[in-house]
Amino acid sequence: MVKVSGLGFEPSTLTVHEGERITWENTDLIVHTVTSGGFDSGDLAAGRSWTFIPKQRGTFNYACRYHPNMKGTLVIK
Amino acid sequence: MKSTLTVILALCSAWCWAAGNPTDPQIAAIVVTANQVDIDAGKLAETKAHSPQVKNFAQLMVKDHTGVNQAATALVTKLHVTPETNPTSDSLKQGGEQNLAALHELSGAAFDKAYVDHEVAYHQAVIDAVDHTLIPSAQNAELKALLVKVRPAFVAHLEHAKTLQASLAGREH
Repeated sequence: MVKVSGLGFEPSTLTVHEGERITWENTDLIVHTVTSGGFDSGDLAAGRSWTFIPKQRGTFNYACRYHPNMKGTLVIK
Repeated sequence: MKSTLTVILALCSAWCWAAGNPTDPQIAAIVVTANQVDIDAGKLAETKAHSPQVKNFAQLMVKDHTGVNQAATALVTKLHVTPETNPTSDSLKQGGEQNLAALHELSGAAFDKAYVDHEVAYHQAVIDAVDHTLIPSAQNAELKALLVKVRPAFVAHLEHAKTLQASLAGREH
C-alpha cells in the first residue's frame, strides 16, 4: 500500500515482486494521479484508491500529473 | 501595480484578527471564502491567460481549491457547523472582487504577470494565516486536522506560482 498524502507518496520507493498487487490510496483532499511511462491511474479523487498489478520487472519512476514535484519509485523484482 | 498593492494590503488586513481568535464557524467561513476567491481568479485566468503555463496553473488552482472546498463543506456539514461570515471573510471576499476587477482590465502578458503576482502574495498570506491564526484557533480536532492536511497543497501552489513569476520576469528581459 502506498499512501498519497501531504502531496507526497509514502513510501516514496516501494519494492515488490512481479505480479504482486499494489494499491495507492489518496488520503489528500485534492485529486492526484499515479503516472509513469508504463502505467497511469487516471484521476484519483480524494479518498479513492487505485490498484495495479505489475507484469514487467524494472524500476519505474512515477509522479502526479498535476503536481510534478510528487515523485515516487516502484521497483519490480 | 496599484491594484495589486491594494489587494495585498486588503489581504494583510484580512488576516490581522484584532478582535481575538476566530471561532470554528468563523474559521469555516474564512476557509470556504479563501478557496472560493482563488477559484474565481483561476476561472478568469483559465480564459484570459496568455501563457500556456499560466493557464495550466489556473486550471490546477480551480481543481485543487474546489477539492479543498468540497472537503471543508462536507466536514462542516458533518459537524453541524454553520459557517459564520466575519470581518476576515468579508475582507477576503472584497479583496477577491477587487482583484477580479483589476484583472478584467488587463490582457496578454500584463494579465499573466498581475494574476501570478497576486497568486504569490495570496498563497503566502493564506499560509501565514493557516499557521498563525486558523490552526492555533481551531477548537474542533477534525477542523484543525483539515487545516493541517490542506497546508502542503498551499505551499506547493506558492512554490509553483513563484516559479512562474520568475519565468515571466525572465521573459521581460
